[in-house]
Amino acid sequence: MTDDPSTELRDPLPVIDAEDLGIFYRLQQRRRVGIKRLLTGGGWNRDAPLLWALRGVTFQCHEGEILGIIGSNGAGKSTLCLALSQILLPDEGRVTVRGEVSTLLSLGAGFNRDLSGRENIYLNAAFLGIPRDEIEQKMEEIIDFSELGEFIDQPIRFYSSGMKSRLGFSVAAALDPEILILDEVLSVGDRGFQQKSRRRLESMMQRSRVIVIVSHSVPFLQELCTHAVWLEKGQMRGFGEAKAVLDEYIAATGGPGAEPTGANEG
Amino acid sequence: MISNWSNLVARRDLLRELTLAELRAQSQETRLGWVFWLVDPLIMMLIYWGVVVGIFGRGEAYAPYPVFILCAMLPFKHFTSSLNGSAKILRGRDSLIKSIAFPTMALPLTIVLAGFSNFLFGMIVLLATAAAFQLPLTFLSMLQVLPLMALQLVLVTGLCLAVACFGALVRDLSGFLGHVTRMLFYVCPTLYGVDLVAQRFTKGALGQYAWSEWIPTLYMLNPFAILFTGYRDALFYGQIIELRSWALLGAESFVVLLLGYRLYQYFDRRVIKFL
Repeated sequence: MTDDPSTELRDPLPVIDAEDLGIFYRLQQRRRVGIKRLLTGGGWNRDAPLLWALRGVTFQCHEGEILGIIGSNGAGKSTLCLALSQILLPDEGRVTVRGEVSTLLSLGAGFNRDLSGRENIYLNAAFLGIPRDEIEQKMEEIIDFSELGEFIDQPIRFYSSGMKSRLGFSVAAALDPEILILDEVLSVGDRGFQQKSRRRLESMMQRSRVIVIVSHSVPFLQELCTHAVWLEKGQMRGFGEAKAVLDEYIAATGGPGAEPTGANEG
Repeated sequence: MISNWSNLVARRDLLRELTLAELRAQSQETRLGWVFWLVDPLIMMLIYWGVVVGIFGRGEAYAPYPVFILCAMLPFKHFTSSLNGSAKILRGRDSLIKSIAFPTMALPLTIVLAGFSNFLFGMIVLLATAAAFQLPLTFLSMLQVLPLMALQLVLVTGLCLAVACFGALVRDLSGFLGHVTRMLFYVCPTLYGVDLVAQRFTKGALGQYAWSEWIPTLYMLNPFAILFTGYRDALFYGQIIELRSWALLGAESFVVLLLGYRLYQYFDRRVIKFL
């Protein structure tokens, strides 16, 4: 996408602009606070030690770029995705995202297990911000893509986890994303469905202005990304052209990483 | 996507789908389906009627007691079910909240709206019971139910927004809420009328103290006391609700909504770190 001849006409402002971004968790906040501790004044623990999940992260992403985020478990990749999706707000620094963000961080997260697959398509689409009339038009296409057949009218508590993921991906594939953030979405279904979902994802990517992909897999990111951010323990170890950053990452970790499965943590 | 009014309006599809999903999930897998929403208040009314009138031999001043009790029990059930649901909703949907950017305020609002839908079914039972007892109601007095329902929605929404935040922050809250709502049930004029409160405090043992005269006035500051009394004026006594009561209930409801909304906005993104 960097070879795009229309590069000169691009908006000079970055689509994603993170400057000195920091997000922390108070260690005690991760545990729930009891009323007894609250009444004795010890519940809030404002002086509790901070765990900086991200700190001092600065990068920019311009239109047409595909940004890969790489790092080991607990590096802060998912927290960065949450910040870019504006699910978490920065505690330090700032992040500016110019455009509408669509996140595929977890498939079928909004499903109601007592409702049928068809009813859950409407529900999940509403969470993703897809209008009802648009989803009605695409309903048959979504059902076909999910390969659920007559199961679509059964409550999804009878579905296997693979069936739920397939349905979740099929709804998400109806998105027309401006800025697409992907995490943990490529390991859906059997090998046949994975290939089909990969093709659909690539077509979504072509329609997006900017794509952010989180992965452990260097070959996968090398294949797709124009730029990369390398995170370790919440700090940025590298940012720049994908090849240079990923070569540094390989040199430091001693291997190219797993095949693309998309299963990520951190 | 932060929780504010404009984002909620922009995502009104989500609010509608979530409420419908909640109602469908309640009814779809049951034998009775939506008919249970009619049967449920009927059973509750019969229980209280049996206990208060049948066993305790009270409630003769409030005959027909089934209509009297339903006027308070239905809005109270909307309040308690919404409050209990809201206290658990953010913790219960934590993986969703951390996966998709959406105004999370839609979650407690859905609980309130689904509860309100159940309340509307209860109102059918109430109106049918009032008709069965041939209460002398006028069209004007019955019309008052509409603004009362709107104010009830405003009041319960405000309380539930506040409780949703604290429920996510404080694990123990939902356990305490059961006791708080039970206490409120007896403190508010659900089983009895406000006239009993005035009688007890001005003519009983406390009647000798000058300050006891203030107790009924202070008691009527409770928005639920005004609400329940309002429903009874409209559907039990067939009277016009006093202007002072409208003003007080309206002011209290909107202040509670504003406070709940502001509180939710403050905790909106912060609370995610606690989940």
